[in-house]
This record gives sequence, structure tokens and C-alpha cells, in this order.
Amino acid sequence: MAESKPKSPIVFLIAAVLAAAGFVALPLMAFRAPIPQTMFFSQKIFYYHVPAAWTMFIAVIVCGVASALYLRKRDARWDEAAQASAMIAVLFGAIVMTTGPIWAKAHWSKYWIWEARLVSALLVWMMAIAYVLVRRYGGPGMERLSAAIGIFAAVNVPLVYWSTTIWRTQHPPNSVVPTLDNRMRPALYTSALLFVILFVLIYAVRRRLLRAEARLHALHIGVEDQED
Amino acid sequence: MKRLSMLLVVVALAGAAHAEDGIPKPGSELTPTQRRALQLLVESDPQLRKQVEAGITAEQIGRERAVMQEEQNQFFASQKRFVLIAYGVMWALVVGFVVLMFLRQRKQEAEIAGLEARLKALSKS
Repeated sequence: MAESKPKSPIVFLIAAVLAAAGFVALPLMAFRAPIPQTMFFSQKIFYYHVPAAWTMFIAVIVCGVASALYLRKRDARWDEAAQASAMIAVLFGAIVMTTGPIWAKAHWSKYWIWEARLVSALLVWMMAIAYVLVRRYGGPGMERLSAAIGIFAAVNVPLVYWSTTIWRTQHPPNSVVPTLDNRMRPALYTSALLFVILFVLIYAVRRRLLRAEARLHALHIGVEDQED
Repeated sequence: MKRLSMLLVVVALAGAAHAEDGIPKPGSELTPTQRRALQLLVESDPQLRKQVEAGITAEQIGRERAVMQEEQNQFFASQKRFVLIAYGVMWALVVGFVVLMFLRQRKQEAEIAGLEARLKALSKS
């Protein structure tokens, strides 16, 4: 089998440079942006909490669409795409689920309140975790079950998005972003772009890892066959 | 709180009435103009008179202001701490994840190379 030379170090290098640039640029831009009158300084968390949530949603949707295509076409590449994005959904979900409560503590004096937006986002994140756990420990033949979980998680994303309009919530509504002060937009969109680029890079590396895993599996079988 | 509001009103009104003298600095003596303005205000308002008679001084006003300022500073510091913690946690998660992936990839590459060599040796023998 002809294997192309892994290019991951380049991807890692690009990711590292981008991350370093973002690490410096993001706080500078965020701190220069004004704070809305009804908010405190902790509002700065907005500039990485919201883009992380958007990226989590993108990852969950990619996972759901790829899962649906896998169930329809039974092509392993779609399964691979779903697996790669599910893990990223877990990562960005972890960011959302830690930065959110920290902001809540600063603004509401409580880390967590049981309201629609928070609970629905938590559920979607838990579904992504369930997907990863099923794939990791479910054994062979778990592709279809995990694909179903992936689709279910993706279907729930619109519910999370509109939860603030459907139910009365303490979480800020979706209208915050469209009505944002123009001086706050550059920081938010730069952060969102950085997160999306990180998503793409991590996705590429995850796909490579999954392919290597499959190759490793095939090699193990080959060695066992030869030894027998 | 009510008392503090009253104090601030007294100082603000005195300052507004005689802007050229400004609001007295905490702990400073009142200028004659400021004193006269306060006197007029106190005479025109029985409630203020009661407060002043109770012994309000510029020093007390200054102390109350300093306490308020300190409270505000502490609040801002706590808010800043939350922002920094959230930012740190975010990057720790991203970097941790990338490092784990990198280590896993290296391990996989080594394992693949080992298995390929073994397979080659087996097919030769």
C-alpha cells in the first residue's frame, strides 16, 4: 500500500503560529472594544465564549451530516469525517462549558442555572461525548449506533440556538450579535475566524490520525496472518 | 446607604452652587465660599440641618468615598480575574488537546514503522 509521507508537522506548525498570534491579538482586540452599559468587565469572556459555541455547533452539524451520509452510502470516509468532527465538538464544547459558567459566576454570581439555553447546550455537548465514548469503547459494529447519536446531536443544534426565543431564559438572546456595537465586531469576528481555522486544522490532523489507526489495524491483522 | 446618599447630595450641591471652588477634597478644610454655600443649604433644608447637626464633616465624606472607591476597585479586580481564568482555561484545553494529538500521532508512526518492519521480516523468512 503506497502511503504518502505524513504532513502533520506542517499542519501543527501552522496551528501553533495561528494559536500564538490569536493568543496575543485576541485579548488586545477584546480589551480595546467597549463594554455595554449593562455589563461588567467580565463581558470580555463573550469574545471567546460565543465563537467557541459557534465552532461547537459547526462541528456537531458536520458530524451529523457526515453520519447521515455514512448511513446512506456506507462509505468509511464519511464515518471518518463524523468521528473527527465529534472529537472537535467535545473540545469546543468543553471550552463553552467552562468559559460560560465562569462568566455566569462573574455576572450572575452563580456558576450554573438550570435554564433552557444552558441545559440544551449541555445536552448537545453530552451527545458529542456519548458519540466519542461509543466509538472508543463500543467495539466493532458501533459505527451505525454512533452515527445515529451524531444525527440526533445535530438535530438538537437549532433547538439550542432558538432556546432563548422559545423559552424565557436568563442567557442573553440571539439578537445580541446582530445588534452589536460596531467597535465590538472586529474582535468577535477575528476570534470566530481563528476558531474556525483551528477547527479546520484539528480536523485535518484528526482525519490523518484516524487513517493511521486504520492502517495500524490492518498491519496488526497482516502480522497475525503471517505468524499463523 | 441613605446617610451616604445624603452626604453626597450635600457635597454635590455645594459644588454645583459654587463651581469655582469645586467639590472639597476628602479630609480638606472647606473654603469660606463652600462653607457659606453649605450653610445656606443647611438652613433651607431641615433634614440636612439634622444631618449636619449630627456631626457630618468633610473628613467623613472623604472616608465614605474612599470605601466606595475601594469596593469598586475590588469588584473590577474580581471581574478581571474571571476573564483571565476563562482565557487561561480555554487555551489550556486547546493546547492540551493538540499536544495529546501530537503525542498520539508520534506513537502511531513508531508503531506502524515497527509493524511494517516485522511484516517485512516475516514475509522474507
